[in-house]
Amino acid sequence: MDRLKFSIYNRLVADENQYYLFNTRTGALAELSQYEKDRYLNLLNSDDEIFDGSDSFINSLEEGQFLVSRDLNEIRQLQIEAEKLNTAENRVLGLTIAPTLDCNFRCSYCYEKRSEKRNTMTTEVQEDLLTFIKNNLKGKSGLSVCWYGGEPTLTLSIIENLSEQIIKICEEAKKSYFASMITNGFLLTAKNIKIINKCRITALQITLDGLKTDHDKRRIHKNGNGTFDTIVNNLIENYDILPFVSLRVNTDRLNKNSVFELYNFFKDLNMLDKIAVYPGKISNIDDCYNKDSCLSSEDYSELAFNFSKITNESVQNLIPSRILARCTADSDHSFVIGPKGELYKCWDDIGKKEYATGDIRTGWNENNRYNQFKKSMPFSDVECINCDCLPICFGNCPRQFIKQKECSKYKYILDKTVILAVKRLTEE
Amino acid sequence: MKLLLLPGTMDSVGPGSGGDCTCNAGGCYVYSNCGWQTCGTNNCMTRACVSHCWAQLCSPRFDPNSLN
Repeated sequence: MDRLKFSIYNRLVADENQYYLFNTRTGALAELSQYEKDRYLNLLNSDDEIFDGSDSFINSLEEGQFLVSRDLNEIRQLQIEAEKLNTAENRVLGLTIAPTLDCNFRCSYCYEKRSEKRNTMTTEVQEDLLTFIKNNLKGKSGLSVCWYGGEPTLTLSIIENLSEQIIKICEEAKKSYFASMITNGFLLTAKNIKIINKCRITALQITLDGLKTDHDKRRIHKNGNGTFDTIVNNLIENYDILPFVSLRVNTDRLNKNSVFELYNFFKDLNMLDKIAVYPGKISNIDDCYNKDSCLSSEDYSELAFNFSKITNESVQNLIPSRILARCTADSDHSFVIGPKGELYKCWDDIGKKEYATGDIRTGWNENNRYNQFKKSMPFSDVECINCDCLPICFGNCPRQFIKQKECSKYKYILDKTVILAVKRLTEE
Repeated sequence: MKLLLLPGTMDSVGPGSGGDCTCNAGGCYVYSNCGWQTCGTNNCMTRACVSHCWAQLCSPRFDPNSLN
């Protein structure tokens, strides 16, 4: 018989007289009776050895991997899996491409306003980018492009040209292709959406900051006018031909109700089949915004939880899943590419040349910035190692981790998220 | 004890990092970079699926056991 121990990632959650056991490493969830809860705590706090097959309760705990082999080092296991994931063959090449840093908006909190020049990609850089893609597709199963900016729709002709050639490259190399775009939505006319569809961009992320009054205070066109009416009219009038839209609601202390208002707004318009509303946290990136206006992590987590309550989010989406790679910053097969062909490790670094970690012509440069991200792993942080949310947080944002670690929302709302998920589970 | 959700192999990668994704442990697979393109038995083009991908982290169809 194997000797067992309790997983360090078990979280016992109490909801009045109901008890649940959730494991953040495996996503397993179990309901315990009062007796089972007491027995669990007794076993947990006892020095007695636990052997597999001892009784049905032990068997169930083992089946749910709440009990694991005594020899298993779960932290090391996470680390090994993350390393293997990063170096695994046949991963998708992930490129976030900004054909321009120019923008038609002047948003109050935008971190790209620090950019000295709002460059646009030249023909030469486009050619170099195609070569870069050809070279880096080797050994990959496919290519995923996210068109970024600046405002990418300002350079739709460049995107059209590049997409045509990139798709051809992928088809000839028998690689899969997926594309998305992050846009402010202002230029999403029927004509432009048709171009976007032709470019096989099947997902858009658009940001609104609230209904007209809130949005127009913050997301201002460079001519000084509000932008809400144009964006929303674009979505309404072109709904039938729109790709799927993730509608991010940038949220701070000044617009805490916006995500709820916009959700109801699009619900009343019967547009939620294609438009997914969700909250996003505004951060003070590189001192480009007033930090006092930003929500604390705890307040933002509460807001996100309250939003989950009013939506019909499925159990699978409510239950936090394990993270092994957070974003481009800690993925060796992902690059952020600026309009001059510079490479970055983070979307928020774009346009700041001292943050560049290479160039599409000369390749990756393992400089300080690169190494900063490489070292921003939670396994070197005592608090992370001792946190039962490590598998579902993984240190959260690597960029933030370098400056001042900002824990994921689950630090604040895991228990009530589990309870909500159980309620949804019983409803489904 | 009643197991409500079995231990899965749901792992996540964040926006921009590429990878095969699933937004639904029940078999609703989408492809790469927090995108949602194809799905198996379920309709993955739902609000919850989409917002999960962008707002949080998406879950790649990656089985760590396959690396053992």
